[in-house]
Order: sequence, then structure tokens, then C-alpha cells
Amino acid sequence: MNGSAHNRRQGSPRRGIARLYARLHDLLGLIVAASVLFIAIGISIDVIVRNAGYGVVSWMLEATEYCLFVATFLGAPWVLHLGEHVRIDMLVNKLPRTISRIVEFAMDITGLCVSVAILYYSARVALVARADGARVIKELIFPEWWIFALVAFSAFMLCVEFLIRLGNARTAAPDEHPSRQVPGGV
Amino acid sequence: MEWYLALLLLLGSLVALLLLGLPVVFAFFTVNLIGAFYFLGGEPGLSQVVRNAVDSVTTFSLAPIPLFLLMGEIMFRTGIAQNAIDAMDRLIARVPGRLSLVAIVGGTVFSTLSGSTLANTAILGSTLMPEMRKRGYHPSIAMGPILGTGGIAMLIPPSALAVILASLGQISVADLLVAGILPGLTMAALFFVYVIVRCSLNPSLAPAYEIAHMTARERFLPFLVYVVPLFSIFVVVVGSILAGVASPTESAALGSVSSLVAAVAYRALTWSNFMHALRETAKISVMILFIICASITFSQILAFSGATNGLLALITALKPDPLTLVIFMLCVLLFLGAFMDQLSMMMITLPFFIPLLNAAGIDVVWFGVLMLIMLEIGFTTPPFGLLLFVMKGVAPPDTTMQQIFAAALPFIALMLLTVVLIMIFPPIATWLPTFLRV
Repeated sequence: MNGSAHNRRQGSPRRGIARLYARLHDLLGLIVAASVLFIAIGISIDVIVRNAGYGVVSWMLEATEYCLFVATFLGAPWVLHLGEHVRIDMLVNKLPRTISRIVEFAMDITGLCVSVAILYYSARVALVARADGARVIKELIFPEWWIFALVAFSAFMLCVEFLIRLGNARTAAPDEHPSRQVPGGV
Repeated sequence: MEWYLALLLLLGSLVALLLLGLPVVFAFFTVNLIGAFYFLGGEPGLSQVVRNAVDSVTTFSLAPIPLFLLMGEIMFRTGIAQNAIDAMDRLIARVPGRLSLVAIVGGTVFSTLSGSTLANTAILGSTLMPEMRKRGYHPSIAMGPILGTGGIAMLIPPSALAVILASLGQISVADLLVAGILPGLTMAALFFVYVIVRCSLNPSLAPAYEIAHMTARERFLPFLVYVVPLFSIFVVVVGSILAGVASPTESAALGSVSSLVAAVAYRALTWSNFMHALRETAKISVMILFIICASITFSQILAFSGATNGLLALITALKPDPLTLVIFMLCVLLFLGAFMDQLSMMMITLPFFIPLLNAAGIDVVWFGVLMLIMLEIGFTTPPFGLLLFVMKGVAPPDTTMQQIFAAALPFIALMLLTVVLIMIFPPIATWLPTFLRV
């Protein structure tokens, strides 16, 4: 069999999945950006309407809170994908290359374990809430499991991202570890 | 488990994971999961961690974080801030260290328009550094004022960090925002005087140069066009709070919409820079909110384990006088600032500091201002001073980190002097909020 044709056939679906994965992250980023814009415009409209004496947009406060929640949890895997979660790398950078690679690998494993734990417990809370028929009853009324399902989705995406980082770290040159690109500080 | 063992386990493992390079948020989550399993009754505790994480960010009072960041990003990405700084450049005549003074005045004005220290440093660095370099300014007098104005940005409202501190410390957001104004101006005045004195004593630091002759119109018109209208944004943010039209959270929304309106009015808003500003805001906001989400649970577990109460009881038993207590806390912040980011510092220290301050009867707004300055100093001290890295990014390629830190040192000293002044004369921080409340 022709080797390059075989590679193309193997590479093509992988590239397709990688593109799809990148698009998914772009979408998550877009949702976060849209949430921020919604908060800015929504609250401003509420203030103007209230001070003009036309009453209040009663659901705005809650909608803002849910936007913050959605932005945080959908944005977390996106920011990890971008390598922008703040970390302190001064010690790791000072270590010899081999040791620093081992430490980076161990930290990615730790991140993966944490994400798996959050995935498991958020899915469990979501399933219990669904079985109980629990609802969030404020201005906006909806099933409570929606909230925890979103947390579980976020944790699932974090797991995938950590797995990819672990895969990349295994094959990459020492200086190319994805977490090396992460800046430190807010 | 004894409280000190719990404290050692929780804080020790957190610091170890942070130093090993695990992203801050995952370090907090790791310790939370271990702590919840041990102190909150096993599996139910772990489910509680998930519930707490959701509750901690589903909070209206956190909305100013993305909103104040958005204000700064819009100003930065649309070039409005750059135009304002150029306009102020024309106003300042031939004085010793002219461009450094432009950086201080420009930085102070931009502080009223942006809630982000990073945006402040980046815009001033990229705008003024090339010109300073061309004019033969010594790195110490070129970069120092730009790094120093980060502290002013953190104090003068809008300030995203002040909102985070107030929200986490259960301090009045409006009071803390207003309390930062006079200390911010004091700091700007100290920087201003320092630059003039130093450049007068050693003119080679900032060689004088001929300024192109300008008519009064050429000198003042850009200020009227590019700076004066922007003050309306500050008026919207602070005025709406003081007039009772909007809460601090709502004022942040009004401010970010005002900055959008300003960008449209200046015809500076394009789809590309708008999306860039939104994307950067989204990225930094998520980073901050996700850490808050993890670290609030950390504070709760600390409290539940008995570590918080144990340490508080120990310190209370020592009966330190309030001044010693405050100095001790500031030293802790100065130490942590050398290797930790501001959010982590707040998250780790506030659960201990706030009860201690309340027990000692210390004004939390006054302490909040001191804490903001110490957080800013932490932003400028190596090895973990992010502003130093931002400056390295915008400074000429041959600039070393040592040069940048050496440039920052006198301004760090002036920030510490501001802290001392506020401690000796508390009304610098407390007078304005009290006056405006009456």
C-alpha cells in the first residue's frame, strides 16, 4: 500500500476532528463574549428603564447571574485550550528539562483527575436533581439539573483538553509542552 | 484533626501545587476536593463542592469584573486611549522628564476610564516607550512611571480589582471605589514630584529636546476633543453611584456601554477591534471568575475545618495592637506578592484578615485601600510581577528584566510611602466615602 496515501486517509479524519474541536472552542469563546455583551447592554437598559419610571426588568438580575455562571463554566475549557489559565511557573522553569517535563506531566494528570472528579459529581448531582424533579423557582423557572449538566459538560471538556495536553506532552519536544505557554498572573 | 494540622494540610498542599505549576484554579479545586472529602463528610462533601462552585459565581456583584475589563479593552483596542495620551502630550510644556510626566498624567487620566492595570501599562508602554527611547531617556525614568501608574489604575475607579476585593471581603463596593480616589491622586502627585526632582538633579536621565512650536489651538484642541469628552465616562460610572441612579454593579455596565458609545462617536469602532476587545475581556474574565469559583469553596472548607477559627484565636490571644496587626498583614501581602498573583493572594488571606480586622475594630475600607496598594506592589515585584512581563513585551528588545525591575524600584518605594501616609493620615482614604455618604 502506498504509505503517503495511507497517512492521508488516516490523517484526514483526525484533521477533521481537530478542526471540529477547534470550532467547538471558538463557539464556547463566542458564547462567553456574547454573555459579557448581554450583561453590559441588559443591565444598562434596566437602569435606564427604571430611572425613566417604566418599572424594572425583573428577570435581568437573575439573567446576569446565569450569564456569569454560563460564561465561567463554558469559558473554562476554552481558556484552558488557549493555555491562558494563570499559573506560577517560576519553579518549574528553573528545574532541569527532564524533571520539569515530569512535573508538568504530573500536574496535567492532577488536572485531569480533578476534572474527572468534578465531572462525576456534577453528573451525579444533575441525575439526582432530574430524578427528584427539582426546579429552580425564582423569576426564571427551569429544571435544576440543567445547571449541573452544564457543569458536567464543562468538566468533560476540561478532561478532553487535559488528555490532549498529556498526549501532546508525550510526543512534543521539551520546550513545546502546552503549559509552558501559559502566562503567570491576572 | 487539630486546627493547625488542618491549616498545614490545606495551605501547604495549595502552596505546593501552586509552586509546582498547576494552574491556580486547579490547585484550589484539588485542595477543595481533598478538604471536602476529609472535612465535609466524604462523598456528600464532594457533591457540595460542585453546588458551592455554582453558587459562588452565580452572583450579581461579580458582574463589574467583566464590565470594567471591557471598558479598558474598548479604550485600548479602538485607539481612543492612545489619542487621549497624544492629546495630553501636547499640553505638557518643556519640563524636566517631560515624557515621564506625560506617562503619569496620561496614566492617571486613563485610570478613570479603565478598570484594568494591564491595559494601562500596555497602552502607556506601547505609546510612549518608542518616543522616550528616541529622545534618549534612561530606562529607569522611562519605564518606572509607566509601571508605577499601574498602582494608580488600581486605586482610581473604575477598578476591577477593587470590586473583587470588596465583593470577597464583604466591604461596600461603592465605599472602596470612592476611597481609592484620593490615595490614587496622592500617589500620582508623589510620582510627579519624584520625576521632576530626579530629572532636575540629573538632566542626562531625560535629555531636554525641542518641542515643535504649536499654536494655542493646536495645543489645546486635541485635549478638548479627545480627553474632555471621555471624562463623561468617569462621571457616568462614579456619578451614577453617588447620585443613587445605579448600584456599583450597574454603574460598571453603564460605563462599558458609555465607552462603546464613545468609540462609535469617535468613529473608532470597527468589527475587528470590537471583537478583539470582547474576546480579550471574555478570556480574562473567565480566568478570574473560575478562580473565584474554586477559591470561595476553599475559604468555606478552611472555616469548616476549624483552621480559620484556630488561627484567629491564636492571634487574638497574642493581643496585638491594631497597628502591629495591620503592619503584619501588609508584610504578609508583600511577601506573598513576590510569588503569587493578586487573586490567589486575596483568596488565601481574606478569610483570615477580615475576621481579624473586625475583631480589632479596624475600618475595612481603609484597610482595603492599603491592601489594594500592596496587591499592586506584588504585581511589580519579581519573580512573579506580571506588569514587569507586560513591560518587557512592549519595551525595546534589548531591555533586560533587571533594568525593568530597577526602574520600578523607586516607584515601589513611593507606593510604600503612600501606604505609610495613609496609615498616618487615615482620612486620605476614609474622608471621601464618609463625606459623600453624608
